[in-house]
Amino acid sequence: MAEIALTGVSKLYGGNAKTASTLIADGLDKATIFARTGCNVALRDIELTLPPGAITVIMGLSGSGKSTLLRCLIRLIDPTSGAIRFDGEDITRLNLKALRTFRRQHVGMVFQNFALLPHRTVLQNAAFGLTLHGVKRHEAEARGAAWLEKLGLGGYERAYADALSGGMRQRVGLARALACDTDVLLMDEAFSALDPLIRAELQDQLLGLQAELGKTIVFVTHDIHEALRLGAHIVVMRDGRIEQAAPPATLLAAPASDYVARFVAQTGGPAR
Amino acid sequence: MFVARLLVLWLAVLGLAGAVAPARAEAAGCPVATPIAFAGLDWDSGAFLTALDRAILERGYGCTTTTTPGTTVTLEQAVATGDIDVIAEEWAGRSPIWNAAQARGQVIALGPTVTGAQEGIYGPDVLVHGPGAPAAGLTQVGQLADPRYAALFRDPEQPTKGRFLNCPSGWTCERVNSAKLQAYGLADRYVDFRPGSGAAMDAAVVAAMVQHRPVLFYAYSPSTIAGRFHLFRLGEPPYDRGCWDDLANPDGQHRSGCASPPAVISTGLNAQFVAQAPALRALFARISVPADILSGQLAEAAAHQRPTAEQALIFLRANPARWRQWLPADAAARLEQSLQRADGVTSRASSAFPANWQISIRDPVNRWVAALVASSGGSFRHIASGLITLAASIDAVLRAIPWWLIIALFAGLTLFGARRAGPPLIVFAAFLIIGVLGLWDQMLQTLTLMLISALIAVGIGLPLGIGTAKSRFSQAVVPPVLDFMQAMPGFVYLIPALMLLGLGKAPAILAMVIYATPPLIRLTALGIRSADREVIEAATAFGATPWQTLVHVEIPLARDSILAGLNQMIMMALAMVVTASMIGARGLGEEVLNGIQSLDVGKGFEAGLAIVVLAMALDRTSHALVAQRGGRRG
Repeated sequence: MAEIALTGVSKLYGGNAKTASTLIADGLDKATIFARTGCNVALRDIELTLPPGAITVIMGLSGSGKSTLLRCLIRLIDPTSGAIRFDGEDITRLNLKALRTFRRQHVGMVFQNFALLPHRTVLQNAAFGLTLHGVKRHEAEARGAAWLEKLGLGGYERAYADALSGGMRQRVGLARALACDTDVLLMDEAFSALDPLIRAELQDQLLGLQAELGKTIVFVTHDIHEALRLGAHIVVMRDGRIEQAAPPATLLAAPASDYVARFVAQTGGPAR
Repeated sequence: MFVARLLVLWLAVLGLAGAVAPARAEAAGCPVATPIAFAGLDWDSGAFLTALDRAILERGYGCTTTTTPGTTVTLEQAVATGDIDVIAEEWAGRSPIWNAAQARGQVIALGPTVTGAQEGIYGPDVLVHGPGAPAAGLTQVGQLADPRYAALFRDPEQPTKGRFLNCPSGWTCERVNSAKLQAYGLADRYVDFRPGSGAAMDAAVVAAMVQHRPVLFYAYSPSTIAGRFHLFRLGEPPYDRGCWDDLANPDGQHRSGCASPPAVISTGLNAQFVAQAPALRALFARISVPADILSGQLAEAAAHQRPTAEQALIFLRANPARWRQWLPADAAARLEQSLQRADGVTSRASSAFPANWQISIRDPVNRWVAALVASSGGSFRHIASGLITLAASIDAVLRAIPWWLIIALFAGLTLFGARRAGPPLIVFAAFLIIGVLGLWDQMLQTLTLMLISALIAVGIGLPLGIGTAKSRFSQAVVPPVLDFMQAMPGFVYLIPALMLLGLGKAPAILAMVIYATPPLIRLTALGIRSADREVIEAATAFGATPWQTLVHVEIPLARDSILAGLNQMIMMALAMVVTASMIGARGLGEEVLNGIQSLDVGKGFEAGLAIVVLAMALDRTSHALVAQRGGRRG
């Protein structure tokens, strides 16, 4: 199982990045740095270890840097500085080819708006990751079909993604990621676009699967209820920094800051 | 340089148009109160005579004048209706429209405005009289039937035959020349090639002369070509009324040929205008210039790249004895006085833009094109012959397929792609309409051009469109190039292109490609740029290579936009078909041109309709085929 460790990861957009870096070191806040350097600090000095074989939820409001952090994990966004180690291997040093191999071997990803190919059938979508990896079409579709079946989409193989409901589409997205049989699963606001009932259903399904599979899952959400429900480990982010990283119980019992406490308060407090 | 002359003519028209406003009628000199409307003749001698007449009227009589551009037939029609007062060069007797108007008493021809005018079938003099002349001994048109001569004047598109460069479709001389080919027994040995426009005809002859290639063509004097080159006119049996009437009659026998009647070149006038101004009637009856002198003036203007208006003044300054015979004493005195003034052209529009800031790129462009035409005929002709061979083989294939099979093929392909009855039915009906209109053969020729230019346009357009979407550099560079391709008037590059590539299919394909590729590039780029970022990100996350992302994600996502681009490409290419026929491409465009140049609106409409339905058929077929790939959407 993959252990993912981030050390000193920062991401700066635009402006004078060099000056901004020193200002980060000086501990100035995001707004001040932007005012002084025109540099938008998306992530600042992230130190984080994601436990293998468990669901880690990265939680925060929009603009907190949670999606940027997720994308940095497989360099969909290149961090400005810092190291990201998968089982000790620093992926920020990989060249493009090695990076592709790394992504193919280790990562599956699920997206907020499903990111399915509208011109392909459900089955072709489920097999898409595998076909990219060079798996023969026949085998790829067999594996895709097995996951569709498992996720309750048996019989929809020949339908086009557009004809399905949101919940069904995201199951296709999940099947696509699971079919790749990787040890890491990244989920970016995967259930945020769904109706509450469907969302709960999929959350249960994910928990059920995880009990069976034991993957390293990184789940990004802005919803504290979802975070508490799914996460074995919760990372609360604010303005590109980690506010608190802890198991749900600790978070509820001992919020590290007022900010975290305000989040927790939404849930009705520790005495849930 | 021909291009130069075109430019010159254009500038002259501009200059004169600008000159209209300030040239106020002085005192009581002018016999008419309203401005005198001239036909804006677009061929060299016509433009010169127009400039000459206008200079005399403005400077000698103090009149104001205007010009209105148009094709010969429309201008003749306008004189009949009184919208135009004067045509400075009217080949009276040759035009059915003019003859009919004359019979109704609507127009009057005065002259002879040009004496000693000639027309006939010409070749370069060196072919016959030079040292080691390849055609020594060729004196009569009839001798051309000898295969030796057909080989000498070989047609690049049909190498087993010679090429005779006829007048543009729709001109009166075109029909007569075709009849003559038949009458002299040359129809089987020579391709009766119609260049489509006067500009294309002249450019083709000039290019051949400059590159020392044999060329057999119809020409007339007065003309720049007659003044500029040493030409040899082939002998014909003398003019005979019965023979000529048969040649001029489209339904005639065309058994024996003869020379054209002596050309009577007059000044054509609206009858009411003449009645209003008897003094001008006397003037126009006396204005007369010998053809060889006129040709000399035209060649001189071309050599110095002078606007015709300027050349007309030079002529007037150099030949006072001549025009003193044309004008009454008072007008002659006024003209003389005016000519002594130093100003070059009558009077230019006084532009507010500082004169010493102006830079002309005319001369460098002219020099460059002239050098290119003179030096590198060869390499361009290789490209041209490649295109021509390709066109010939596609044409042969299309012609070998029976008509019903072509319809079935296109409708079948559409049905296969669309899986619906609608589109194939449209395709079926479209081809049927073309067949019923009797334009099947022309349609095949146009289809050949379409297929080749579409192939090239897609080959260039798709990669460039993708490149434009992906690279910042192309994003900056490509759009202005596309603006250039779309907005630059076609003839500006087509005339030099035909001088390099030769008249006919090759420059036509070039024209269609230049015009049709930009929308495909733009819409492909737009489609790729607006593809869903999240889906592309998904492909990247799963380890897709850039190529995989392009093929499996970006292009399919951009499909609707690319389809719109293909549609626009087809429409643009077909819109260019008429322009293509102006530089000698056969097919539906030629029919349109033929129709409008002979004021046969019905014929033009038929061919135009055929172009529209062909466009629809090709659009439905291509749409069905491309849209099918990768399944349905939404």
